[in-house]
Amino acid sequence: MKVVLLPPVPALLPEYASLADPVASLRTAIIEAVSDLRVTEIWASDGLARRVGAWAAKYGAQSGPDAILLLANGSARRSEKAPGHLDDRAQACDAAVERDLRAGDADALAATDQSLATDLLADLTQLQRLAGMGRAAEADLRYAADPYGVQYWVAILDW
Amino acid sequence: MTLKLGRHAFPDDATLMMAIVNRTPDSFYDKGATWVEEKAFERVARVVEQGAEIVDIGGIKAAPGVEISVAEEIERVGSFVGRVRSDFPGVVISVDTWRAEVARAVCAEGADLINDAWGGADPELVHAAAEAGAAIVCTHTGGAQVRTRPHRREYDDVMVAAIADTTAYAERALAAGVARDSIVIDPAHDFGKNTFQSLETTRRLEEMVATGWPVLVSLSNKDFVGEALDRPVGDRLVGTLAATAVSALKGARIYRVHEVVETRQVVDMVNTIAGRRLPARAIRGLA
Repeated sequence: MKVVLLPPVPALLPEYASLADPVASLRTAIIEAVSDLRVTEIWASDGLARRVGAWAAKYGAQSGPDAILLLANGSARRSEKAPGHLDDRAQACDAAVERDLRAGDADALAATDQSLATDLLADLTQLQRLAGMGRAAEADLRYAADPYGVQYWVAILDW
Repeated sequence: MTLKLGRHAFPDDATLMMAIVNRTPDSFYDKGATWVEEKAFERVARVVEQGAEIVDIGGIKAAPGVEISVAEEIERVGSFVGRVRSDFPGVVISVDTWRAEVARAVCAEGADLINDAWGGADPELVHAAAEAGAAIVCTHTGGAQVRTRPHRREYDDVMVAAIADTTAYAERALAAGVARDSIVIDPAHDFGKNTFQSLETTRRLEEMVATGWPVLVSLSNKDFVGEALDRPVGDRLVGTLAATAVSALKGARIYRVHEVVETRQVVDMVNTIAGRRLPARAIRGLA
């Protein structure tokens, strides 16, 4: 089974399109990540995140390995210009999640401190659904950046 | 409707800036600042860099004054058009003239568009445009004589008159062979109109847009702006931009302007508010 982790960024949606795409590289990374996978499920924490998942699913393939889209992002408090302003705990929290993503450690991801995540305006609730899945055979972190003070990742975990 | 202006074509949601370039010693706003050819050429280079899609080159000021012969008008604008054509192939060249002989001469030099501010006073003009494959601007002057100011002119309904005259002119251009997508109409603020009539024309511009012909507005620093706000020439930019905003909301396509950058921002902002244009780059609240 594959899980594609991507951030629920509203700027990806066509209803929020601009003349110049503010999230062009993120968009490219997501489209490339899903392009040869068949999306069977979308794990999202709210309706807006689900819409972003549905948008990404349109770029999936008709056939191919099945994949779950898991909508999640790190802290939105990574800088003074960030949506949630600066929180000094943001960097460490995001770094821990990113380390577990690189390692494909599903149980560690599932055990992320949700209370801290809430404080940091991170959307990590769906990681809890990875509990009990152990370590992924492959973990491919395709994109990691915080262009607007929000930590984004695009990663493919494969069991 | 897609707009074809001589060598250039524009999609139907494009708004266009037409920058005024005077080859005159006595125009009201710049008072001869670009009378010297090099100054006019510098003005072209500047407005092109500012993003103007069209330059409107004129050899005779609109207001009454010394009579300028056909030969003199061609002398002022003819070779200048050729020079602009060769140095700025990407810009639409409009020439502000009512005379067919001048139109023929400038089209031979590379003009794309004939901007007839005087409502078809020369009946040959449409044929000159058609022969050259040029576009034409059909204005409303209420039958005013060329280079005259309005004096106690009234209309039963100024917008009805403007629509009737400009669309009749457009049909005449079409019949003469000008392409349908190369005809623009212009209510011509201040021409044959007092300030109240120009204000009403602005207020009801959507009626003209509803005809389906693309609408050009020429508002820049005009007397109706000055009289509305009691501001002299040189202090009318804010009023001009307010009139521009109203015209943009009502759907004008082409804006004949002295100030390109300011007008472009106003037109883009209004069309973005109206939902006809996407924001340049929106991330606030969406990251």
